[in-house]
Amino acid sequence: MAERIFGKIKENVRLDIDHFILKVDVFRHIEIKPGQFFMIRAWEDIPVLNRPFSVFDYKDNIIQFFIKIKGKGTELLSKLKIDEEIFLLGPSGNGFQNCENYLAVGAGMGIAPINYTSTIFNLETIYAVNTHVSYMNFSDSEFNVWTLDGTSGEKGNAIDAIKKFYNNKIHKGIIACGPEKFLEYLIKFCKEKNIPLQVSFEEKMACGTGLCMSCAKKVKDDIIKICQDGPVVRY
Amino acid sequence: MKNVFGKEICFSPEIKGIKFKNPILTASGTCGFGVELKDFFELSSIGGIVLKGTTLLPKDGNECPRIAEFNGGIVNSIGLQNPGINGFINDISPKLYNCNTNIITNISGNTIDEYQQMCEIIENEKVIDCIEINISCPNVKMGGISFGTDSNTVFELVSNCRAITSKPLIVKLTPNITDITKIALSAQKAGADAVTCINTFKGLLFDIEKNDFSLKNIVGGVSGPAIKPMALFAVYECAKVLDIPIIGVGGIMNFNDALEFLKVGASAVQIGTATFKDPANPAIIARLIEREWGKYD
Ligand SMILES: Cc1cc2nc3c(=O)[nH]c(=O)nc-3n(C[C@H](O)[C@H](O)[C@H](O)COP(=O)(O)OP(=O)(O)OC[C@H]3O[C@@H](n4cnc5c(N)ncnc54)[C@H](O)[C@@H]3O)c2cc1C
Ligand SMILES: Cc1cc2nc3c(=O)[nH]c(=O)nc-3n(C[C@H](O)[C@H](O)[C@H](O)COP(=O)(O)O)c2cc1C
Ligand code: FES
Repeated sequence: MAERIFGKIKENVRLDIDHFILKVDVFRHIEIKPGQFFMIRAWEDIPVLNRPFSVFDYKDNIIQFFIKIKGKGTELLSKLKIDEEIFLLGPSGNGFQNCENYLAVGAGMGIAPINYTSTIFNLETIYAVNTHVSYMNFSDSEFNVWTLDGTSGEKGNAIDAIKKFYNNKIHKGIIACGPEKFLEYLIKFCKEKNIPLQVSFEEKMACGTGLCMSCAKKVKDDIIKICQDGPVVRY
Repeated sequence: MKNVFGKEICFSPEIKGIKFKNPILTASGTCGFGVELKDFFELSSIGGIVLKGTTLLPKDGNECPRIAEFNGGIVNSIGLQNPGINGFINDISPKLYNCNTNIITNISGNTIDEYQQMCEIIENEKVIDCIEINISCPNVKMGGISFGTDSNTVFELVSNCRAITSKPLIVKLTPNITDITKIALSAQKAGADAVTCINTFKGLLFDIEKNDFSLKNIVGGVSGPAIKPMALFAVYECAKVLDIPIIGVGGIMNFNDALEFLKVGASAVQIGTATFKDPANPAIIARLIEREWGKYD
């Protein structure tokens, strides 16, 4: 159930020019399912809306977010200092469920919800990015790194990686998060191959808690609220 | 506490015999069907809940993106996604029994007949205390021009609903018009028990990076802090000419903003976009109003 949580910055780790990890102390235990997200705010009235971020990691009352700077909101978050206050609304959404022995795939920033999920379920994990990034050891988990240009790990995109790694003797399905085009392709791919799939979607959100209907998305002939009935959809 | 017209402001305002325990309500479309807010505060701590705009038949709403942001507010084009009045009554309204606050249904239609049919259905629904008529909707019979921009149409719409319902009728005015007082007066003449000032302003945003409109629907409704001065002006102008109560809404982010609306002529206020910042805001503002009430002249 989503709650109003007043946390404090424990650590703000800058990974490179536009990526950082925000560690937030929430001072108590909160029940968080892998794949859930929080609406976050650390400013007064402007920007008007809170910003949604997936849980990247969580233990000992510290929630971690892996964030890419895009605009004003993420810029403000990137500048937060230790002990500064931060407002969290969540955890929201359904999260990944029953995905023991699934292959986990995070493309780009899609690694954020995948990381916590693969930690909880102890999953083999692919991290696919365009090019080498300087912060490859930012998570406690180990990833199979794939880059489009081959500057780190193996050369290829996330689909190439899945084709190489997915083994129906070991894996029971795939969980994935990443750019919409990749997810669309993956949905088709898994349907053809009859592979159970859970994907986490993004949509613009005003409330993140089911109040406003701004996050409605048509999936499998139904219109769902990504913030409540998603962000994870099972295929 | 007195308003700028020298009139005493009532802490527990009344509309057609229905009492509001304090002057703080939620705004339609920003609090779901009220049920969703129960996780964040006791619904009984505020004067009333205005539910998501409801239509006669279920509606899917517009394509996404339905929301875009600018410095000072948001633009939405939800397109009235809702389960229809009967869907609400069957599936949602039982969850609102015993919530100990006033429940106000916000209705939208394509024709006067649709509004009337909804009033008829609502008449027998005990959970609903008041009806708020959203007149910003396009009037299909008049080529899609909003009902709320023509005073004769508003008179016809409101008097036809008045003929059907004994529940308090609140008319929610659109600001997308030259002189809002003309429409307000016609609603009053047709038998409205109160008006809500104001619905969203028409607007759009363009996303340079995408090289496309920010909203799939192109046009949306502007809300949030940026519209507060215009909303205050609309309340003030209406207060000069109306005898019925005015509910102020538009850009109220905190207790101080709420007070400004009461000062310039509103009897109650609705909290909209501020609920996205913190879903407990309606209750927080209500608590502050209660605590600070005696401190202002
Ligand atoms: C469920 C969910 C989980 C997410 N998890 C992460 C994460 O773990 N790490 C991360 O870096 N990013 C994540 N995002 C994307 C992140 O929310 C946006 O990058 C962020 O809101 C951008 O805000 P801004 O002010 O910096 O950018 P701006 O572009 O200035 O934002 C303008 C508006 O658009 C919205 N917006 C912009 N991009 C997105 C997007 N991709 N999805 C939804 N809304 C967007 C903003 O919330 C804001 O309302 C997630 C999005 C969703 C929906
Ligand atoms: C996402 C969203 C949905 C809305 N839906 C409705 C609606 O269904 N019916 C209605 O009369 N007004 C609707 N409104 C308008 C609000 O009730 C309110 O009049 C407006 O947002 C101005 O107040 P604010 O600045 O406090 O948000 C909606 C506003 C928003 C932001
Ligand atoms: S973001 Fe408001 S309902 Fe999903």
